[in-house]
Amino acid sequence: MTASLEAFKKHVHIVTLVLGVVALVVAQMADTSRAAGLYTAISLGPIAAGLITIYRHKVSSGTDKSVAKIVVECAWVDLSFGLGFLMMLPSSYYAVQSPVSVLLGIDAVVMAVYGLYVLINLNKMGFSLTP
Amino acid sequence: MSNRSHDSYGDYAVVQVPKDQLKSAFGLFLVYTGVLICIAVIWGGGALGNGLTFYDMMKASVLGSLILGIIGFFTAKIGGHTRASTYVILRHSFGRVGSMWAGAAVSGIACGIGWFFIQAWLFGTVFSTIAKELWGSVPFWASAPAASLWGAVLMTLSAAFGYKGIAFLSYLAVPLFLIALGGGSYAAITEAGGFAAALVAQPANPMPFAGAVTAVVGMYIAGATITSDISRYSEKPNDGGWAWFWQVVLLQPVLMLAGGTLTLLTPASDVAQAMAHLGIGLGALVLIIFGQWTTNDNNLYNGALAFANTFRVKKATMTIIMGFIGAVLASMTAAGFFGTDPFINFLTQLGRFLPPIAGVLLADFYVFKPYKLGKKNADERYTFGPGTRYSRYNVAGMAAWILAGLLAPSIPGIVALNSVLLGFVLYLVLAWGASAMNLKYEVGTWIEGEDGF
Repeated sequence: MTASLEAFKKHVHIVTLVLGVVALVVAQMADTSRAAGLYTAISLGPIAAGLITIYRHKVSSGTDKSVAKIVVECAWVDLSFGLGFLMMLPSSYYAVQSPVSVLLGIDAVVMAVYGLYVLINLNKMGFSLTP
Repeated sequence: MSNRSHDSYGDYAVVQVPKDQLKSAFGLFLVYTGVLICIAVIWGGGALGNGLTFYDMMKASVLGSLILGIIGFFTAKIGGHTRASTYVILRHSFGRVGSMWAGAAVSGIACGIGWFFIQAWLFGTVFSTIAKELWGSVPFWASAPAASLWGAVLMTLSAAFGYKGIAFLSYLAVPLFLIALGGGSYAAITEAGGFAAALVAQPANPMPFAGAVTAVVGMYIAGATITSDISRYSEKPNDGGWAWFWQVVLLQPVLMLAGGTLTLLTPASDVAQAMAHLGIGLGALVLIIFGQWTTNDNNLYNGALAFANTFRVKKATMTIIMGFIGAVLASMTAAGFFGTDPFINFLTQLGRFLPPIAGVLLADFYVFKPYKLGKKNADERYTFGPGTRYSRYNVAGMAAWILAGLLAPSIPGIVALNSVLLGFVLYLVLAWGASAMNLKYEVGTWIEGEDGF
């Protein structure tokens, strides 16, 4: 296994889990229950993806292709859920007070950029982005 | 296993997908979901909400989706075993020339040109409505004719890349769409009176339960028929079937309930418009753009696959030609040059002939070939590759297909389901009967060339 793939294998689920948990905690600070509910629901996506990724690495055959597949699918969740937060944050119906909005926004940007970074790197290594 | 053909037309359009190109069940699930999620399904749910209570609506959408899930599971499984598109698979049950006619008529013309342009026109129309709601006025680029045009171009772009293009888009768009739909539906339904009110609301124009199930099945039976176009990429034979089953059974009822519940509470079922009105503008735009994009690029993808089995043209070229025709027609329709009714009537009539294909296919693959011809191994039941001999016409398959399409509407029950069942029974009667009486039901010979054609 190449060094970079090994590195992604080691940290993709951790980063995903941490960013998901941060979003979950910040979501609880929202001033309306509907906003807290929505952002809690979205944050469950990356948390679930992180946990599923841990399980999949445990049962995977360990070949480069199978490891890359798991990493890529986790990175897609990061990218799309990060964008999901950014899509809903500007809405007036689910508006939250500025500190919460800024924190969630930063978390979401990091999530999306990290997902994109992993995808670009795996693409450069020659792995399929649609496994 | 047959020798491998050269992929001359791109995206393995007329040859088997190589084993090193197969995709995961999760990827297939996302692609199928991308096909399902669109404004039309939410509006279809709205039609149910006009005629049923919440619980009946839930039962009808789940039951209808289960029927679709089961039919689509078995058609997708054929794609998983053969690693070939629906139209290439049809070479065995319709004959080589029969597969050209059937595929080009019901998928090439209907999906690739007809429904593609109608959906692109719908995209432009809804987009301009939302633009007006969001910005107060409609700039030229957001007007219905312009949006239909650039919308169709976007859809053509992802379809031109073949399976990789539509899968790439689905990985990104499906989660975003579901987040937007979840947040948007909750907001729209809450503001319209809430879920508690929806549970006890009475429909404006009550409709029979069976009619509702018919509508649910009819709305997506075409998708259940041509599942092999996606499942041909599945790593294991059953992966595509399960991916299809779970996305339609879990998500179609959710989409329909989103539109239906809103209709129960208000006269409208347009979740996207309600979202724009409530200040969830970006979500509304995502709902429309990605919803229509991921569905309509599949129309083009299916149509191009069908035509690639009919004409010796690269699939990407065919996609671009069809996309261009669709973009022009959609834009002209949006500009008021002509209405959509004549086209929709024609496509609806043509659509009657798509479900019987599933019946013939299922009967041939699961019953006739293994139990009459003794081909027990599902992976080797259909062979493809250079030198493979097909009949030019399988008269039993073609007759069953046409008769089922003509007769199904006159039989009581769920028309789309009748079409499938009638195609299934008629094919077995004709093929088995002819075989038992030593009558020739396969006419002529076509030998597959190096290019898979």
